[in-house]
Amino acid sequence: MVPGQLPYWKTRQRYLEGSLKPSEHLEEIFENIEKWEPVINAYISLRDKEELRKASKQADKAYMQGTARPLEGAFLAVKDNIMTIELPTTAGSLMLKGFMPGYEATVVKKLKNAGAIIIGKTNLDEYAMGSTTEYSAYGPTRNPLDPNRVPGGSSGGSGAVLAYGGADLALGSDTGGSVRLPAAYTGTIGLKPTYGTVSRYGLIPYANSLEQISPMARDLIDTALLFEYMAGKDPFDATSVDYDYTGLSERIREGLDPSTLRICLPQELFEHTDPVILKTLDRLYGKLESQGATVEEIKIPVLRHVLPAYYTIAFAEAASNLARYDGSLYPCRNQDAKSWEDNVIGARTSCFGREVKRRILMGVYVLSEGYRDAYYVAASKIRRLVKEAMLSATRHCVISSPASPVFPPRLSETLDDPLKMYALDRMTVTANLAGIPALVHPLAYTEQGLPIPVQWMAHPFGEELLFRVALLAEKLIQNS
Amino acid sequence: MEGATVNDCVELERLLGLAKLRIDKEEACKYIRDVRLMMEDLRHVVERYPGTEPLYYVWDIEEYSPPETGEERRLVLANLEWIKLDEEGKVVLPWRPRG
Repeated sequence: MVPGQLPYWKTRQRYLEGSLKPSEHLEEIFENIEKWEPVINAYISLRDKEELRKASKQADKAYMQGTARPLEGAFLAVKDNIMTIELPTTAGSLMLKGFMPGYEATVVKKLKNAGAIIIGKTNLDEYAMGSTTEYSAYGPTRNPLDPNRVPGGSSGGSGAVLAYGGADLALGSDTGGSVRLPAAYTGTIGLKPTYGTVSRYGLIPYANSLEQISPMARDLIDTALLFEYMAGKDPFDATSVDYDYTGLSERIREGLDPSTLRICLPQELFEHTDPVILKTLDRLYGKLESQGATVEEIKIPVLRHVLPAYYTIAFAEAASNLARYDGSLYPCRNQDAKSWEDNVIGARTSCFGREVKRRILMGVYVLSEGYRDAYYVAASKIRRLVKEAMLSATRHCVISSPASPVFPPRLSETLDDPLKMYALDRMTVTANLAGIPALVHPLAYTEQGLPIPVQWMAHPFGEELLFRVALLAEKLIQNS
Repeated sequence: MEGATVNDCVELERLLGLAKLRIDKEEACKYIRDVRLMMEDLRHVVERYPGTEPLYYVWDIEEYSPPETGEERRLVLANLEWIKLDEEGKVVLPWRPRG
């Protein structure tokens, strides 16, 4: 994160004290956007300034009258695969250029009801298929901490705007690490919630069984606060579950007695990791042990196979989901088509990008006769093994690992080698396969200003535990 | 099926027809080969765990929804020994004290 950026909860304190108004804060955000956007390219679209000024004045009034809601005057960036009625939703694709959805995502509606003001839609890898935010039809996003490097993906736009102060809070989506990798690379926070706790209604689908709309913020309290107002059962999403997170952001401040804590380190998630990252993690685990926590190395051999299992399942679900884009219902069409078939092929060929086409192709492959059992069913069996192993492990301890094996790659470094890009997800896909919550936050920074993050995973609905552990880790590292 | 073969490029024609796409064929052949080699790993792993059933969703909907009462919530979380619940099913201690 670029130094000097306040988390929303501190900005809100200033609103409540009367030392800052939402309308004044908005002007600060406009300044940051004007300064950074020409280089970073984190927003695909921004709301009209006057419209935002009007909304911020309403928030001013709410604070003056004492009627401010919990997220009143929080300027929210929304990943552009989450439907909004204020701005188009493109999913980073030419296929949906200018697409105005007829309804908004449940999560967006809930956050607006809590007082959040949508400021713009953030860049992403097309249809969330990527780990670097270079595969967007609207150009790559750069990392504000080092513009020669990627911000991670696919929610790289959301991570970048938080890092340079272009919004207070942000929404991303996490299918295999898509908020955690941007958090890891931009020095922000990303939570992949327990599967089902957040409605997916209004999320443009990529891989339904893996993905969740996910909160991103500049600190842990903000992330918990945002999650608290996103979560909940939704009648429009049959996979959503009812679990009450009310008061989460307050409760986590109570802290955690380190001597009650057991931390497990699956060795498979530490392999082939940059030594600088390992050294910082070792320092953290040593600190935790010295405070009375139990830290133990464990082995979960099936975790060596999560990457092919994850990608096989994601390919299959992507091919199925993206079959709907046939050049008839959505903006991209082939005007010169001589037949229906010609229109479908023409629209899909001209409006899908390189990585999306590749994943559709592989999805068709792994689902086709003769290969389904060999690949898709095999991957789904490994998924069961992963889920059982992770549920069993998280019964006894909190899992910790690096968030990424490497520091943010340089722009174009993985562009011509998709498998190299897929390998960036090696530590993050496990949580999606198992449906468990996972949290990534920065621990320290290198001399070059790059973040060194850590990942925590817990049992289903264990978000509160994750936040408490993360706050403890942050405190221990900062005081060392 | 091992290594780069002409088969991957023959497959490509069939897949493009099914996927209703056109794509740079040379690049796509190489990609299919690389990813297929990555996925080959899956078959060998599964052989080591005979009888494993595939998992298509992380949990059954019936298993998890809607845990509205304390008792239902307790059932949902029954296998998580770290979670302690009060009589209404609210989490009171989300971690297990050591010892």
